Amino acid sequence: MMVPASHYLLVSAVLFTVGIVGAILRRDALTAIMCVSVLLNALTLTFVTIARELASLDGQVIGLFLIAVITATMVTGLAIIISAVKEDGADKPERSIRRER
Amino acid sequence: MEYPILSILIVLPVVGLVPLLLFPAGREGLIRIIALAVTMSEFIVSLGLTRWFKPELAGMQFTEKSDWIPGLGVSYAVGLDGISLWLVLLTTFLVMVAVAGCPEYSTHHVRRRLIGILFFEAMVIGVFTALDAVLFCVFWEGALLTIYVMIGQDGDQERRPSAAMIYGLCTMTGATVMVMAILYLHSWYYRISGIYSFDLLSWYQLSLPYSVQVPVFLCLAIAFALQLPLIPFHGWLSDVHSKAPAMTNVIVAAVLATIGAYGFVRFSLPLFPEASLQFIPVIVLLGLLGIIYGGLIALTHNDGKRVVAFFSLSQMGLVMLGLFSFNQVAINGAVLLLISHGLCTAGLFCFIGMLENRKHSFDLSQSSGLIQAMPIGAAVFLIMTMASIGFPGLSGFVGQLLILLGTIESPRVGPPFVTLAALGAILPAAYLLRMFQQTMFGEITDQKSAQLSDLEWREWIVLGSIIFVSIWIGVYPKTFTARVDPAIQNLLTHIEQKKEDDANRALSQSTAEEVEVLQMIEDMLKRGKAE
Amino acid sequence: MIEFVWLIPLFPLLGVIIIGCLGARFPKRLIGLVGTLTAAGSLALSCRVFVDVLHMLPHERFVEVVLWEWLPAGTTRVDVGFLVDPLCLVMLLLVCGVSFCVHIYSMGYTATGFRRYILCLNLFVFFMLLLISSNSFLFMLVGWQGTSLCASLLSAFWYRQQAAVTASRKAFVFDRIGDYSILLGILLIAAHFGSLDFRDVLPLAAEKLPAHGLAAVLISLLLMVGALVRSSQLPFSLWLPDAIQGPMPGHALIHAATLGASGIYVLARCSTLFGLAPLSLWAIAAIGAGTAFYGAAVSLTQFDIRRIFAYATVSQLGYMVLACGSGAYAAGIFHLIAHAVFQTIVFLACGSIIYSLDGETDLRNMGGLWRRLPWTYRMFWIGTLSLSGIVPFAGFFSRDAVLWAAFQKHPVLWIAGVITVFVTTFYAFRALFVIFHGRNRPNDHADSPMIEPPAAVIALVVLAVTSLVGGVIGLPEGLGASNWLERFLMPVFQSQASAAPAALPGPEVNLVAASHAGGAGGSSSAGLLHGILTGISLMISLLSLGISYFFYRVDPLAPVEIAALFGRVYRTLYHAWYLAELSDSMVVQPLVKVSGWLWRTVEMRLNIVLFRLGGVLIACSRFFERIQTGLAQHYALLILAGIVLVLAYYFLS
Repeated sequence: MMVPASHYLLVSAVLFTVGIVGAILRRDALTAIMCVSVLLNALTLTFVTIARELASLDGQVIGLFLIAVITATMVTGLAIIISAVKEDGADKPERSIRRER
Repeated sequence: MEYPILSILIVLPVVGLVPLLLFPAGREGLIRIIALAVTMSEFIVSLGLTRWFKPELAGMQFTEKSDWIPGLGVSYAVGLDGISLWLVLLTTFLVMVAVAGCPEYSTHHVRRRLIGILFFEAMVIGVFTALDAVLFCVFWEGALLTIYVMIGQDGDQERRPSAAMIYGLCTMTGATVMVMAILYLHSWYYRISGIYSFDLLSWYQLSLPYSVQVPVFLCLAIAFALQLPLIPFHGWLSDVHSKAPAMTNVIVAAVLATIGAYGFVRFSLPLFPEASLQFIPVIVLLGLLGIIYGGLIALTHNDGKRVVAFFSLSQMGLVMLGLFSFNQVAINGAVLLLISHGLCTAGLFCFIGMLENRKHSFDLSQSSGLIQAMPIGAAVFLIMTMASIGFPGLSGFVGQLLILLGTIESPRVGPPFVTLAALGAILPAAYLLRMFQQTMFGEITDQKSAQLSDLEWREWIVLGSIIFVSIWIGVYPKTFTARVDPAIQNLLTHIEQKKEDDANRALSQSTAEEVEVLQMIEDMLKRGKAE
Repeated sequence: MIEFVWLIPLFPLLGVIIIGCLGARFPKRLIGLVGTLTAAGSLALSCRVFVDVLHMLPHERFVEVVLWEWLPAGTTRVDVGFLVDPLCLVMLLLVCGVSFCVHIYSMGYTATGFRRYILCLNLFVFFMLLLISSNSFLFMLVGWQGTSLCASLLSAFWYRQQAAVTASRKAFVFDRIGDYSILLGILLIAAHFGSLDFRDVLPLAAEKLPAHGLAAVLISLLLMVGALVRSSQLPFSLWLPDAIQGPMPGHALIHAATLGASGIYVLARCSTLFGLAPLSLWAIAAIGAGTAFYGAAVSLTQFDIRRIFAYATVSQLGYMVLACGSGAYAAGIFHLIAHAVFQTIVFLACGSIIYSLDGETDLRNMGGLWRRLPWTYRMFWIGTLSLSGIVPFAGFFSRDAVLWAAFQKHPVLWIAGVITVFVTTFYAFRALFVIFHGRNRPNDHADSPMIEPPAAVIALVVLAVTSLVGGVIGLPEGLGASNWLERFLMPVFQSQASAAPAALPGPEVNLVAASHAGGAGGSSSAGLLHGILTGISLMISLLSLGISYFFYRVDPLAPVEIAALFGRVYRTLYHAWYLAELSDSMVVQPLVKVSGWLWRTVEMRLNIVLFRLGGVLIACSRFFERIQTGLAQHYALLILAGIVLVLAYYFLS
């Protein structure tokens, strides 16, 4: 029996919410980026689900694009964090990235 | 002339300031020379305007027109007539004088100021030549914003943001109101003629109902009055002048005030004749108040810059009086007085700037006896003071006198106002002469004054050229009035024409109504007979 | 040569330009020479033009020379133009002559600031000549304001002294008030006549203005006030005496001879206009008589010789004004000429004295100078005799003409005039006796060098001779002689007066017409009356001379006793009837207070309002600025909120 698409969408919605909340509320830059990746993954899931519903390949292709985008984003973000931490030498990464008032 | 000379005039300073951007801030001398070269070539090009200007033609000359946003009716339209000719020339001359004559002692701001001035020059020439309402607004706001930046970043440390803030507040409010009024006019034009257009010359043909004219006139009047300034919108004047460096003073006092008056001539008078006529008493009264109030307040001040600022207020009151008397001679005088006022305040502020440059403040209560250190400077300063007071043979006299002569013959203004306005002849004598005597005569009170150096040849040339033009206007004003007269004639006949048209329209309307009423009465009678 | 009349003012202007631009390198002698040459040029040309005009018939003597169109004021055209007529010529000769003499005198005393001094003088002469020879009211205003400026510059010559600077500013501002009055008058004339040329306005005045009408009265009053301010008449007298702060020869030319004269010139020029408003003529005559007495009375009590003769000038100007108010404009001009000559002598002599005594100006510190400054002494005698109006000097004949005219206007005016004669002679000889005779007083500068440069002496002698013989030009007709001056000037006043209305109330008969119509035989009774009056005034003058001699030579303590006796009167006179204090408290102080008040209440409040507005703006800006926290997450939250709102709007509508 096929799992109804709504379940996938529900999962995706939950993941999206988790991702947004986490990205906004998290003080830690690393975790914030991880939550952004969760967010984007939720997006990918949504696209693929709808694609299967509509029996179209477009959504799946977009999913592949999204995976590439997620990877690139994560890599860049992690690189920035690492270089910021290195420069500052602080052990609280969120402090070093936060802009000075 | 086939060359787009006006566009060249507008674009040249902008092009000229690009090299200034490229040079690093360290090369002061080179930057100054480039700026001077740009302003001088601008002035020479504008001289070409006078040579090719045909005095006998009444309409716009050197016109250029090309579409900008056709869908809304916005076009790039520029043109020049007798009045704007002299205002453009005054601008190019004064900017050249400001750049040449006011070297700044705080050198790290020179580049920014020169860039600001050049950009400002382009904007102001655009204002004077724009024949499209949107274009006018663009240039207008451009000019105001440039001045805001120039005042805001320079000047004293102490209350620095405030003077600029007030200025920005006042004039940008005016500009906003002006834009609203222009858009409203645009919609009316569409309603009446079915075309989208911002073209000023086509707007002149519009016949607006009185109820529309009044609010729009008021909005525009506020915008222009804030610029002149006209009482009671003058609050920014004395602070701006006392806190800004001399070069900015020259520009603000001499050129910006002219923009305000020009706005009245180009927009308010031709577009809204009935409203203008209606508001004559108000404006004339405000002008008179400006003359007397400015004169009285200038008596208390010890800061030379404030004295000249209130003198400027006083002169502008007289100009407004002349403009709104709707009399050929008086408007001629108003234009001449505008030019003269520009020259005189420029000369006075330049001199003050030269003193500032020698690290000497122009506080009247502190300096005295300067004539012993700078005799030539004192002589030049005396001539400038006399020109401002309205000494015959110099420019102020001609302007003031023509205004008074014209106003007394104008049926709408008449003798009582003129009696008070002529007070503008005495009061400046009191406070300007006091300013001169307190600084130049008397004993030298501090060591610094004794060591001041006299005018260098460069400063001498700058002030001398101002005096030369002032003498030319004072002794042979026909050169100037001959070219202005046709434009004024045009304006006045246009206003008369509009008044007649409106009267005819009202008449024909009432005739039509009468016919209707008669018809109704006939019908009723017929019905009555039939029953 | 009449077409070249514009060269006459041009010579001094050339002098100004040459000395101004190149003079810094000239030696002092050369500067003086340039000045004298320009003065000589003007004088020569004036004489030539005068001779040319003499060859013309009397009714043709009005030549207008226009240079270019100055103000294109619609229908009211104003040109740079010159009107050559008898009045103008007489004044031209006077001004050029006095200027020439003063320049020669100045060559004898070249001190510091000489270049500035000559510049000032020449610039003044330029403007004065423009004033006299202009052909329209407006062009006259050029010379009018120019002379005012130069006079005030001369007052501030020694700019280091605060008193001089203040006095110069006061003079300029006062004159400006007169300018205002004249300007209003001119504007009214323009409105009523549509033109400002003398030829257009003056002969046609009676046609265009209704006699005794409001317009005529207003115009004449306004012009009158302007002229009176310039001639330093009551109640505007306080600027002239204070203004004598600079070098005396300059003041001789400017204040003594010509500045006050320009007011008289205006009165004479506009005689037709005044004729249309007899009220103004009465006012003029009364003010003239009053000022004559005022000036003489105050002069009596002063100790500064500059102020003595400054008030003397005011008093004599009062006589001229009185003559004009009585309708005898020719008499006024005659007295103007005589006064210019003798007052110049006196001022120049005072200049010599002050210079020789190292700047001493107080009477009480002088004495016994007659031996040390012999030529000055002799010339001072002649000047004083002319001032007192003793036969046969010019001053006698001219003052006599004035008094005769005053008598015909109203006997009270004559009485006032005669009383003034008494006081005039008294103070004049008081000065002479105290300065030159008497014992040597303490701080006497006994060792100051007494210089009498030949140039100065020559100038003084020329002027003295003129004063001695000059009476010839105005010998009165009533006494059987032919009044040359009056006949020469008659076309000016007659053409201007020819259209005057016939019915004038009061006894101010048109003197010109009367004496002419009377001829030699018809007015023998008038001639007898004139003779008697002249005799009375002469006797009073001699009597006063005698009393003065008694007071100051025989019994020097007598004046002190009398002064103590009339203490309050004396003090009032000494302070010039407290005019200065009055004007200060009534005009200047209130103005300053108003100005300060305006600044404090109005302007500052306006400022505060604007600053509050600006502050509000800044506060708003600061409030909204808090959104920019700098935290990326806050921005993300805001973006999210925005998206939610948009979606909600989309889905709910």
